[in-house]
Amino acid sequence: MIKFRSFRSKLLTLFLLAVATTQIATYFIVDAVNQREARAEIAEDLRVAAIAFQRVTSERISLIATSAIAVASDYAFRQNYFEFIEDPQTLQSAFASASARIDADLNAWVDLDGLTITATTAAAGKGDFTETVFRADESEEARAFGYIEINRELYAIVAVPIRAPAIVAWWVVGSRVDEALAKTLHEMTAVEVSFSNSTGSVVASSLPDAARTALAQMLPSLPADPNIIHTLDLAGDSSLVKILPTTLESGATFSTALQFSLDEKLAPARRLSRLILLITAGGLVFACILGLSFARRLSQPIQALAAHTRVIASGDYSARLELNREDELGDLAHSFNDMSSGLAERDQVRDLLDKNVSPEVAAQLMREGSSLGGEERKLTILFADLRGFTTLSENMPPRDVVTLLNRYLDRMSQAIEAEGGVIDKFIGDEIMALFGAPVPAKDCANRAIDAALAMRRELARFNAELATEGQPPLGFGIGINTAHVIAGNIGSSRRLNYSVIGDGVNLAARLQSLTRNPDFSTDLIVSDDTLQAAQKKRPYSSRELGPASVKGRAQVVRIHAIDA
Amino acid sequence: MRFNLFLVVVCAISSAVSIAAASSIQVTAQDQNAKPVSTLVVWLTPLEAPLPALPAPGSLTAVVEQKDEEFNPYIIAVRTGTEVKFPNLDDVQHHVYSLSRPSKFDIPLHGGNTAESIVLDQAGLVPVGCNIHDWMLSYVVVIDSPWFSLTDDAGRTTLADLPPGRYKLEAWTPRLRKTHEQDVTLTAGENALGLELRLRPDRRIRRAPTPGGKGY
Repeated sequence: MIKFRSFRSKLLTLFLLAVATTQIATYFIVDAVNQREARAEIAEDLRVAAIAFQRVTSERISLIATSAIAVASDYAFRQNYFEFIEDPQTLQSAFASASARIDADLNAWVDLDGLTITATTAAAGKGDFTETVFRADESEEARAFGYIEINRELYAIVAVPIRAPAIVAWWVVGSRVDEALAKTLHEMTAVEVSFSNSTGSVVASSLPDAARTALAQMLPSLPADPNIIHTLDLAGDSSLVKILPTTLESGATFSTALQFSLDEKLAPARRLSRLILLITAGGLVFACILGLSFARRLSQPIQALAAHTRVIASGDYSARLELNREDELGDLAHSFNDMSSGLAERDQVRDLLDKNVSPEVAAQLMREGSSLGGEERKLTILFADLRGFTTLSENMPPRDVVTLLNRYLDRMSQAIEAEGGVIDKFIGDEIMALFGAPVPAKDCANRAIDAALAMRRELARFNAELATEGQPPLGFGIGINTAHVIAGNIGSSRRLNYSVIGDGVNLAARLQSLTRNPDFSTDLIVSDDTLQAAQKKRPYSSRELGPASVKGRAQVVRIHAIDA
Repeated sequence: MRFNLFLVVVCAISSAVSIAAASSIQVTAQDQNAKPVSTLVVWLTPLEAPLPALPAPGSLTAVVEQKDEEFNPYIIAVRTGTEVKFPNLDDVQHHVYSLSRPSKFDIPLHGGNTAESIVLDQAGLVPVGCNIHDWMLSYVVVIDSPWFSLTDDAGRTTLADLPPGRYKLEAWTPRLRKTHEQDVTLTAGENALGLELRLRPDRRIRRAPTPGGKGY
């Protein structure tokens, strides 16, 4: 089994196979039909030739018979007939003279009892015409036709009456079944004609010598049945042969072999077959070329598509595939280009998403879609609020306000994200950040506290920068709480925000507010839950600020200030 | 007186004997297909008695007409010595001839009402033809015996007034290959004989259609 590596060769082979099968089938069908037609035509030719043989022989002999009757009807002939009979010498010469008037190969006068009175040749004298004369005598038209074999030669004979005025004798005339007759029949019907006598030897034939010899050898072994058409090889020529038996007056039979060359009959068909073969070969070559070009036309764009796919896979969405085709492959190329655009767009969206939401949220959004959340989870919430900013901003141009705020937020964000925190949102100069969401983290409390400490250090550095710029320093207050809250995409169908809601969130915000209280003299207050959770991992320098009542909470809350 | 009486008696006896001894024969002929054979010439020749003397020459005559380019009758039987006349009733001329052994004659082209005659003085079959009309053919059967007749359409004929005795019965028609012959013994009174003959087809030449003629 041949294995095809490429689509092109598969297609080409299929194409060629289809064309070749069609062509070869056509060739064989045409050949079979031609063979059958040729045989049918020859059968018809042979049938016609058989009729022609009967017709020609009977017409030829009729013509001679008519002449004989004309001569015999001559009054002088009639008058003298009885004189002839009396005188053998006169009879012979009168008979010779009368016979000369008609063009017959055989002449004989036969008496009413069937005995030959006289005949033109010694051979004819040996003929037994009794049967013919008897049949003539018994017939209404006083005439009988038959075949006779004399000295191995065949004659068609007819007996006609000599009337004076009643029938007094019979005139038997004959036409030799010879080469001339065979040739005449051949000229008339194009069928080759051969005659063989009662011993089976061919006495006359229109065939060339070689074929004639071949036929003569086969003939005795073939049944003389006119319903059988023999296929014989006559000197290298395939021929159809029909053998007609004809009964001689003696009761024996002679055969007429009618033959037509199958090769000759098929010659025009063979020319057609050769033409078909030529067309087949040409067709295959053409199909090959056509198939190749078609396969190339088909495989090239597929290869181009494959190459393009690799380009896209490598991340280059800007490449465009130009096939300039209007078929399915063209559509495919368009779809590919649309896909590239789609991918590029998605990339951009992802980029924007990264800027607008935290990378973790963005990644989760990309992964899980917008149906994110709606789950309760334990996490740590951090609120950081800038102190004295409102007062500061009143004396600054708005542009400088935004610039200053962004510089602050940028640094704080970096500090938060460095600890794995996620900026939930900026509420003016306030930052809300989550630890342990959307990516769960067991040490979310530690991370939040570490982030807050980092923010404190970062703010110090920022204030140093501001000082060099001649700006007053900034201060902040941070509240941290660890609680079970509900996390998810919250918002309208058009705008969603990944966020958390719950009492724990509010507490974090309240703890941030508590940093304003000068009594606590700290900028970082964490809930007892947060500190407990954080200290499981590692100790922090903290001081308990005692139970504090928080707005919106019935119970007092234990809070701690973190120093370092 | 006694002599006269004797003569009368002898005459009476002989007359009675001859009347009482007369026999007749009805011949019925049919062919191999059981069809009646008409115009069959039947004649009887005594085997044990001499033939009656021939009548005086010129006392018997017969006629074969040439009418509508045909001979009429087609077959005729006559006794030896009969003078047969061949009157031409047609406007065209005819040339009557016979090449037969019993009588070979030739009446050259003749027209009008000329009625040439031939005396047929030898028994035998005399086919008569016309030299210019190939189809014209007549058979004159010349018979030595006075007892001859032709069958009618029913294939029947009766020969009467024959002395009883043994006879050779002969029958002929052109459709017979050979003359039928058989011996018959006639007893006084009526005799009957059925003949079954094997006939050939009628092989007469078809008449040429003549312009305005009465060809068939």
